[in-house]
Amino acid sequence: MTGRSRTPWGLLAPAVLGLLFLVTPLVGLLVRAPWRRLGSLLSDPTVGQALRLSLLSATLATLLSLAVGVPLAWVLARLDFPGRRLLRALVTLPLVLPPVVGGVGLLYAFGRRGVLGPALADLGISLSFTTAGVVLAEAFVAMPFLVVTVEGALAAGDRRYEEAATTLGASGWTTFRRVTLPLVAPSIAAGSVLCFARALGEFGATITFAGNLPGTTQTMPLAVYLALESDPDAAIALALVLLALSVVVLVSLRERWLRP
Amino acid sequence: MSLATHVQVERGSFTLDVPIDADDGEVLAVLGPNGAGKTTLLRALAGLERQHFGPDRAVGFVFQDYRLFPHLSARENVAFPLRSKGIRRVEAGQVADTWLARLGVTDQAAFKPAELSGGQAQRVALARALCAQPALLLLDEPLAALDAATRVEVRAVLHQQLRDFTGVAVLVTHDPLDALSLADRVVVLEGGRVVQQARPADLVRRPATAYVAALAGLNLMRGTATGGVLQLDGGGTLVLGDRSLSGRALAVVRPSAVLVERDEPHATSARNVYPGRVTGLEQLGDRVRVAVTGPPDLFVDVTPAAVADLRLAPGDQVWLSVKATDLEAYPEP
Repeated sequence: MTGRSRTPWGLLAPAVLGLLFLVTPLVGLLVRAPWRRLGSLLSDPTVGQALRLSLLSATLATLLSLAVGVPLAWVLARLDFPGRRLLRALVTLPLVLPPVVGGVGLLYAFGRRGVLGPALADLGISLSFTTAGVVLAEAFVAMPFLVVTVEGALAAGDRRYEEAATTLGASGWTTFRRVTLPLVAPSIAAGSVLCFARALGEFGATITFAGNLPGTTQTMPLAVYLALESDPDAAIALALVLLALSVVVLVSLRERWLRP
Repeated sequence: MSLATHVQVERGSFTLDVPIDADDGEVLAVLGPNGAGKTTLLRALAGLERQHFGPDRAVGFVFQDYRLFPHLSARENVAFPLRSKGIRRVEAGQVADTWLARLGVTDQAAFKPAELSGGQAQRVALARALCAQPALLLLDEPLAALDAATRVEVRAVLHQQLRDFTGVAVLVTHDPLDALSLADRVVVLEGGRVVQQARPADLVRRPATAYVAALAGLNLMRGTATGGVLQLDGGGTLVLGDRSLSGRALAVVRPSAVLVERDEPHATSARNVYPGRVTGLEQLGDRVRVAVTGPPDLFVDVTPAAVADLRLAPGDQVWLSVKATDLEAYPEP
């Protein structure tokens, strides 16, 4: 039979080990979950507060990323200019940068003693330790996911349709809006979901730049971490909510955009 | 608005240098072998080549691969150039519908391009190119991607539309039948330059290059004429009917007008008789094309029965005869 080779069975044991390693923490969560008290734990007003704040800030961070990330992706994919590779590397940096470093950077850029702090203060804007700061911190960490996804689609995309639009008298903006954008829409959607998921789980940059004020900057991941010291059961309950949200994200990605 | 421009594009060692002029209502076919620069010429006319600052105006461009926007319906595709001009959706849709009807694809108006057959897709693409009533319609091998039966059908549609079109149409093709049947004038491009420009009827009667002669299915001979005799460049002479021709000249003869025999003919009225050797045989429809090296080298069309009677095979010595009246001789352009 063609295309068939001998199975290297030696790979099987480490593969199973790897799988167990990834699954065991989830099992731990489910096994140790205080199922009976779950209702009362989750009905605590601080939980609802943290969940609302998380969803709100992750949504705003995703919208912010869409507003500037899609144009940025287009520039990186379509414009030819010196230093493009360097720029692309800079855009991808937050993907590999420890989030806490990002948080410190944000603090010294937009914080009260940051580079832009005085100018922002003159305008009456204070970002650190506010919900707006949470949104900025999340967008900083999450936007590269969107940019990289959309840029990949634009770079691999078919330019012939844009050319056809040009011959038909469409302006650059019309071509982008009516041809380019619809053709990469699936990638924008996939990138947005990745971006949202990353923003939802953001911890390091948020706590560094925006702090940990309940109701204002205390998002779910922060609440989980804090609860772990005071009320471990509450921490598990909150973690379960985040886990459920992640599963929803994963399913939506698989069902709609990542199908081969 | 007629067309008068000079297209010059340089790309590496390739240079395209083509003066183009055409009157309104004229259909210009650009014919040439692969790599002659046909598509580059068309793209330059559409303003798609960066080096050539073509007319900054909307053109109608019909691509070989249709290029219908995959996310828009047939109607939305046709309405696209109108919407780009700022015409409102409802009005643009109405104009699109009339064009879809004109091209016989009304029933497919709501279809996405993926649901259209090749012939339907090219009709929709044609409607899209025409509906904004451009002054210049550019067609890049519009029939090349279609299967034989569909090609006949779309060629007829194209013929009708080109006849009604009031602007200048430029059709790029490598299919001589498209050029001869659809165009008022044919521009032959070889190596980025115009080698011949003629009405279709003149093109096939008096080809200027071996490429055009081959398309027309003719034997082409080149030489210097004096006193009714053509001294061929490759050796040998040809007696012409026309004694007035002098200087550099070309002569063509149909392969079916050449007579092939085993033995040297003596009682013949043909003025041109010479020996040759068969180098190959090829079946072409109901005839057999025999390649003979002379000089001159000629293709001869005979019936399969003649091949059997004469027992023709590669390497055989034969005698060819050509009547002077079957030769068309003309000055080299």
